[in-house]
Amino acid sequence: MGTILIYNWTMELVQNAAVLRSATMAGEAGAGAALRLADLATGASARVVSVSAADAASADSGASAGLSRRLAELGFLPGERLRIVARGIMGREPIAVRIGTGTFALRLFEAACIRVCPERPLLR
Amino acid sequence: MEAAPSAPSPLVALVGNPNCGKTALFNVLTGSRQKVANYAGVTVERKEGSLFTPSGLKIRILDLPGAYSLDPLTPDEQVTADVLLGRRTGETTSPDFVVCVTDATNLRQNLRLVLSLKRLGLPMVIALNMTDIARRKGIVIDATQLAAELRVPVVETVGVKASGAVALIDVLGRLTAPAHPRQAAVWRTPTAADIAEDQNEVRRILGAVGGDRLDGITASDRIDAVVLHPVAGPLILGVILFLVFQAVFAWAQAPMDAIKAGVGFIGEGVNHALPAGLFKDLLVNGVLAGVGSVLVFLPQILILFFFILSLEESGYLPRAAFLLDRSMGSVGLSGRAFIPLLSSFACAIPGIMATRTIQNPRDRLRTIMIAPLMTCSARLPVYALVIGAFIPQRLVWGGLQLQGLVLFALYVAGIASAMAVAYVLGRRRGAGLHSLMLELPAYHWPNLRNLGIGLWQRVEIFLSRVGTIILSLMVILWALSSFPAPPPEAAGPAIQYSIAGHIGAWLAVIFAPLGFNWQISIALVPGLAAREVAVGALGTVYALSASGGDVSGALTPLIARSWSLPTALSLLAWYVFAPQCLSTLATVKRETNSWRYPLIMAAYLFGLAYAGSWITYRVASALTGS
Repeated sequence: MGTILIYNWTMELVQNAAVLRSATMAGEAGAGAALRLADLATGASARVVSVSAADAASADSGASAGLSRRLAELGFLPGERLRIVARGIMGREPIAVRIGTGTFALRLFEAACIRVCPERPLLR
Repeated sequence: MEAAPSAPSPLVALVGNPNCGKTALFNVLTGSRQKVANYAGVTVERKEGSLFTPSGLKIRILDLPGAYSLDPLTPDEQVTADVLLGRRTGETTSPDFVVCVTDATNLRQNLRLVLSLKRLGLPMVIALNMTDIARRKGIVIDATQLAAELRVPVVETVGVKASGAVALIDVLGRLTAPAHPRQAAVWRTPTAADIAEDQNEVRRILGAVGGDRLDGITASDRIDAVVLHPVAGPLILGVILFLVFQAVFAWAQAPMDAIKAGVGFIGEGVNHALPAGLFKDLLVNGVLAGVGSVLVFLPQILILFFFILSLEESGYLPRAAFLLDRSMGSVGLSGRAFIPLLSSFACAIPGIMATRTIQNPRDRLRTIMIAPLMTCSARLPVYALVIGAFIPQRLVWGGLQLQGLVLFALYVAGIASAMAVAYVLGRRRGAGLHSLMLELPAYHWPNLRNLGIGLWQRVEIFLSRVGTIILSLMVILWALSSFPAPPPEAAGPAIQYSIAGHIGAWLAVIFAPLGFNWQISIALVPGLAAREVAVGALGTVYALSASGGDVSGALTPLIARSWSLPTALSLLAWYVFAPQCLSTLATVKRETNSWRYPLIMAAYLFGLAYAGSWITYRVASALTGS
C-alpha cells in the first residue's frame, strides 16, 4: 500500500513535469500539436508525448496510478513510435495500437491517457 | 547417469513476458516430464518439469506465469514476482537460477523486464527465443554484443524445434546445486522516471545489437487487416466457431463408434467368462456400462480442445476477444472475459481459473458467475445422447446437419443466457471502467509438439476423472440401484424396489412438471457431482431396469422408445443451465474465498434450469399436441 502511495506521488510529480514540458512544447510548436491517441485515424503513425492517467476519466486515483504504470510497462513511454492498427467493430473502441514491436488493444479510457504527436510513416 | 541422490537438483525458473514462446521452450526442455499442479493457496497453474543434461545432471524447471513486470496486477503476475523474490509461501525453495526468455522479434518490449530481473541480482541467462522468426523478418541480433551490453550470458533458442534449446541446455548443464540457500532478492518498485530511464537504456542497447524494425507492415498486419476488419472480422469469427461445432459432431463419430464397440466387446467377454452373481453384475452393469458411456465422449472433448489450443497457439484468440470486446462491454464484461468463457466451453473449472487474467475484481466476479452457462464438454454426452435419440439425422438448408444445428442452437442458448445474466448483474452492481490492455501477438502456425502436449494433459485430466470421481459414483449408484433386492414375488423391474428407486420416485414428484420420469430424476442426482455422469447413470438405471441382459450401447434406442419429445427437449433445456457440478462450485468457493458466491450460483442456476425446462416442456407439449 505504501509503495503505491509513494508511486502515486512520484507519478504525479513526473506527470506535472511532463504536462508542463508538453505545454511549453505546444506553445512553441503552435497550439494543439499533441493529440489524444483516440483522435488518430486508423493506420496513422505518431510519437508518444506523454502518458498520464490524470487525462483519463477515472476517478479512482489508485486505479489510475496502476493504469499509467501498466501502460508504461507495456511500452507506452514518451518518445516511442506507435501506429493505429485497427478499431473495434462498432464505433471507436477497442483500438489496436502497435507500440514499438508489440500490439495492444486498448479501451478508449486507456487510450485517453496517451497524448501523441502525429508523424508521417517512414515506410509504407 | 543420475546425479547422486544426496545432491539436491537445482531449480531453474523460466521467466518472460506473455507470448514470448516461454511455454514452447519449456516443452522442448522437459518433453513429457511435466507435472501440472497449483501453487499453494491460489489456483494459478504451477508447471514443473525435469531436464537431464548430457552430463547426467537432473535439473528441475519451473515455468512461471508470463509477466510484464515484477509489480503485479494479476494473480498470475503476483505468483511470478513472489517466487522470484522468495516471498512465495508454500514453495520450499526459491529458484537457484533464472532463464529470462525473450522474443527476438519483440526485444523493445521484452528488454525492460530483463533490466528489472537484472536488478534482482539472481544468477541468470537470457534465452533469445524465436530467432528463426526474427531472421525471416530480417531482424539480426548480435547475441555476443547483447551479452556484453547487458553483462549477462545470452543464448539463442528456437522454442518450436526439438533441437532449438541445445545451447541453453549446455549452459544449464554447467550449473551446480548451490551449497547453501541463496539470499532473498530485494525489489524496489520503479518510479515513472525509472521506467523512462530503463527505456532509454533499451533504446541504446537495441541500437548497439542490431535493433528492430519498427515501421514495416508485417505479415501479421496484413492478416489483421482482414481478421480485424469491421465486416469481414465478425463473419470469419462466426464461421470458425460454427465449423468447430460441426467438426465436434462429424469427426468424432468414427472413434466414438470404435470405443462403443470396444466396451461392448469387453462386456460380452466378462459376461461369458464370469459366473452369474453380484460381482459380475457390479462389473458389467456398474463399472463397464457406466464408465464406458462416459469414455465414449473422449473423442469430442479432444476435438474441441484441439481447436481451442490451435486458435490459442496461432494468436487468433486475442483477436476474437478484440472483435467481441464492444459487444461484451455492452453487457458489462471485458473483452478479456472471452478467453475464460471460451475455455469454459471445455470445462468451467479451467475457465474460472483463467479469470485471474481479468484485473477488475467486479469484472472477474461477473465472468466467474456466468462461466458455467457456457456449454462445457461434460454436457456434450447428455446433448449427444438426447439429440442422437430424438433429432433425425438428415441434411437441411443445403447440406447442414440437423443434429449439428440443434447442438449449435443449444450453445447459442447458453451464450445468450450468459449475456443476459451478466447484464442483470452489471445493472445491480453499477458499471465502472473496465480495463482491457490486451496483447495481440504476431500470428504463427501452431506447433504440433505443443498441441500434442496440451492435448495429452487434457486427456490425462479427463481419464483421471473417469478413473476416480466417475468410477466411484458409478459404483455407489449401482449399489443404490441394486439394494435392497426386490422381493421374490416382485413383478416390476428390480430397481424400483431399491434405494435409488425410492429417491427417484420422490424426486420425480418435484420434476414431474418438467416432464422428467423417475429414471431421469435418479440420473440428475449423480449428475450434480459431474454432469457427464448423468449419462452413465441413465445407462445404469436403464440397464438394471431392463429385463434382459441388454446393456451395451443400447441406451439411445431405449430412451427414444420410452421418452416423449417434449421430455427430451425439456432435458436439453435443463442442461443448458444444468445446476452446477460440485467441483465447479468448489472452484468458485476457492477463487472468491467465500461460500456466498457458490451458493448464489447454485441457486440461480437451479431457478433458471427449472424455469427453462418448464417453459420448454409446456410449449413443446402444446405444439406436439400431447
